[in-house]
Amino acid sequence: MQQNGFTDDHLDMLRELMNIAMGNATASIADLLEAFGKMHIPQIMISDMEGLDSYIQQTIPNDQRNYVTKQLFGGLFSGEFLFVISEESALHLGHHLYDVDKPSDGDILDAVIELTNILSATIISRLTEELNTKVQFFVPSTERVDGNSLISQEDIINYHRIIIISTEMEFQHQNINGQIFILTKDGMIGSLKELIDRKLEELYA
Amino acid sequence: MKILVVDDSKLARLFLIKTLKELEPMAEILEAENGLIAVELFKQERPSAVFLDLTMPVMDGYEALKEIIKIDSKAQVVIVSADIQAQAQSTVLESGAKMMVPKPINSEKMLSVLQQLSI
Amino acid sequence: MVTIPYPNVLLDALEIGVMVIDESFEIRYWNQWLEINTAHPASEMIGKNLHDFYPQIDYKVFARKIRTTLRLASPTFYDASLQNRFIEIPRTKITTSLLINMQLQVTISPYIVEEGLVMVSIYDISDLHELKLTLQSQMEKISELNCELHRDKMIIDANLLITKIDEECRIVEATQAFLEFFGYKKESVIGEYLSQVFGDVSVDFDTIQICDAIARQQKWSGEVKAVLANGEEVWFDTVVTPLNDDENGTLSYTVIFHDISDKKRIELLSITDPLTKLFNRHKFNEVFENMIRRRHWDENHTFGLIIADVDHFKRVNDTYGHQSGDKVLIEVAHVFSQTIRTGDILARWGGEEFVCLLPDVDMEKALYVAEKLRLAVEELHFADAGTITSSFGVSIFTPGDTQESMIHRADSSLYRAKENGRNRVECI
Repeated sequence: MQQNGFTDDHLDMLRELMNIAMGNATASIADLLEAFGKMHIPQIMISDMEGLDSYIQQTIPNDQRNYVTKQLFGGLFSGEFLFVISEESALHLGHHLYDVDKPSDGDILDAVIELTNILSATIISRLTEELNTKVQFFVPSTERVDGNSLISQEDIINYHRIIIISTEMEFQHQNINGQIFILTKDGMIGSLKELIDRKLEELYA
Repeated sequence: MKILVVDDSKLARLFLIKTLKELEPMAEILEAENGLIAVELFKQERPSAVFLDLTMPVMDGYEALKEIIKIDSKAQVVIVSADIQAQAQSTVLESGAKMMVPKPINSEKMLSVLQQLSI
Repeated sequence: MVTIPYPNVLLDALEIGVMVIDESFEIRYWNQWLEINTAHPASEMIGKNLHDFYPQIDYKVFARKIRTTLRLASPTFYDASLQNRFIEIPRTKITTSLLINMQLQVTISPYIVEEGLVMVSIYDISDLHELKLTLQSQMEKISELNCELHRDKMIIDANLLITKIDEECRIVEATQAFLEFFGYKKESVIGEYLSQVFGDVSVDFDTIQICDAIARQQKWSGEVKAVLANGEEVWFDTVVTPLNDDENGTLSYTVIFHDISDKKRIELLSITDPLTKLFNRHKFNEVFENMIRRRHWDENHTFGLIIADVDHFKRVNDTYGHQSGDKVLIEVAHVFSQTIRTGDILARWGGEEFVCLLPDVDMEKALYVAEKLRLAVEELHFADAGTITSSFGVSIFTPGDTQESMIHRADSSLYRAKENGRNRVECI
């Protein structure tokens, strides 16, 4: 399988780096929540907008309200970090973090932002660290979305090559889980490939 | 000396083996890409040490660890995982793992691991 | 790496609030933007605890954010969509009062990790937030309007008889009410010609009027007759309005129908002679008056009036009874309406007298019509009365004529026909 110059080795490397990054993130969140998180095997896919849309539809149930936090990150490896957490999970999270029985909407939103902050900072920082490059974070924004239509119809028909790195965050006992998507597109795929190439050269040297 | 390296990622195995070979050039390396194959190989080959990943398809590292310890309670299993939660560490140590090292393992770490194993 | 000798200048130029604070919230730096916007000078703040000035902040959350920032050595953020999660800074904008306090975007960045210091940058995003709020309220209004529109549409669909037709008079859309009223299923109506749905060839004339208006791309209104699926005849007050279809640039037409069958029935009763079903005298007078007034008649364009009277009708009534007499009147009315032209106006004047207006005829033609009528009556055969005859008086419009003057002349002519032996046509 060879897509945009991405070989199985590239995908394997990316999956392993994401695994390591997610390990750090899970530990950070576990620390914050004083809980134990289950690790899941990350998924790597090269797709287009339509593929991304149907992947999101598959991963996120349609019958729930979700908090969707989006954060952009820049640098040689740049893209969008997407964290989706169900309303129910977010409520548990707010409850847990703010230690109140009925967290307000503001508490919940802030808790979600806080969690996303830690997730994105740890995952992306670790990923970029492994890839020997720097990263700049932009201000995240959270919105509540009914169902799983995260991509507008107009955008679905746009042609973009996208690398989807995704995994699940799961804290079983606290009933807190969410989906993580790291998306990078078009030109960025090339520069990501170069970064991985360097990493592969080190390995095969 | 036989050493079994278990990881679903080919590159992760490759990286680990490379680091290992630098220090133990004579070691005979066995590879497995999931827990099930690892347990089977362990049964047949009885390696002196196992480097075992935790998150894997088919059978994960937690399960494989238990199976291996069932076969040989003195088996020297080193858990190599991206999971760096304290609880993950205590769980695997309780299950009989010799130690747990966070991924990725560099030469320095590998040396300290090998020094702690009796091989 | 160039070191910046005057970082204060730089931070002040950025138009953002910047403070440096430690994990116990002690303020180490307070820039000019903060001095100006909070009215707290740096000299007052530095070395003090933020809590003393802003007790309303959730310091547990703030502490956690600072800790995360330091531990991850990476910035953390406050949710920018919420109000007053951090310090309150009053806003001076006067022209709009949407936001009393600044909407802040707060980023906590690591400053000196080893010393537990973070830098808090505060961006004023009030204008952006204001726009967002305005947009939100507009969107809410739009969705409200949409709801209303939908509701109205439902009401229209359920209650009003409306169709949309294309340039060839084919039905494109029809309301539920229209379908129910006509008793058709949607699929048997959509794509059909309007005239087909309206049924019965005899009323084709009505839909032709609509189609004519459409051919001229004009608005039209008028009364049309239709036959429902169950065979019932109905009358509609109809309005046809051209509709510019922006989507594909073609012209279509909305046709709104209003059922006026009841009105029509009453109207028909008020203008009809119940026995002969001809116009009654009242209606005849109205038409007669209109004809004199509305059209420009001259020597070359005139119209005629015929008064007919059944000869010896009293004798028929007396001899064979009223029912036989009625039969004679019905038959005469029938044979008269069969004989005249479509545009001629026939009415029962009273008793055994009939009147007929003949537009666009001269005396010669009027006499010819009267003669035809006379012959037609002569040819009738009745079971009781056998054959009967009738007498006719004719007058022609001349400039200056009134209803009375024309009727007077026709009446005098009729009198003369009676005088001269009946079963004949006379004029003066």
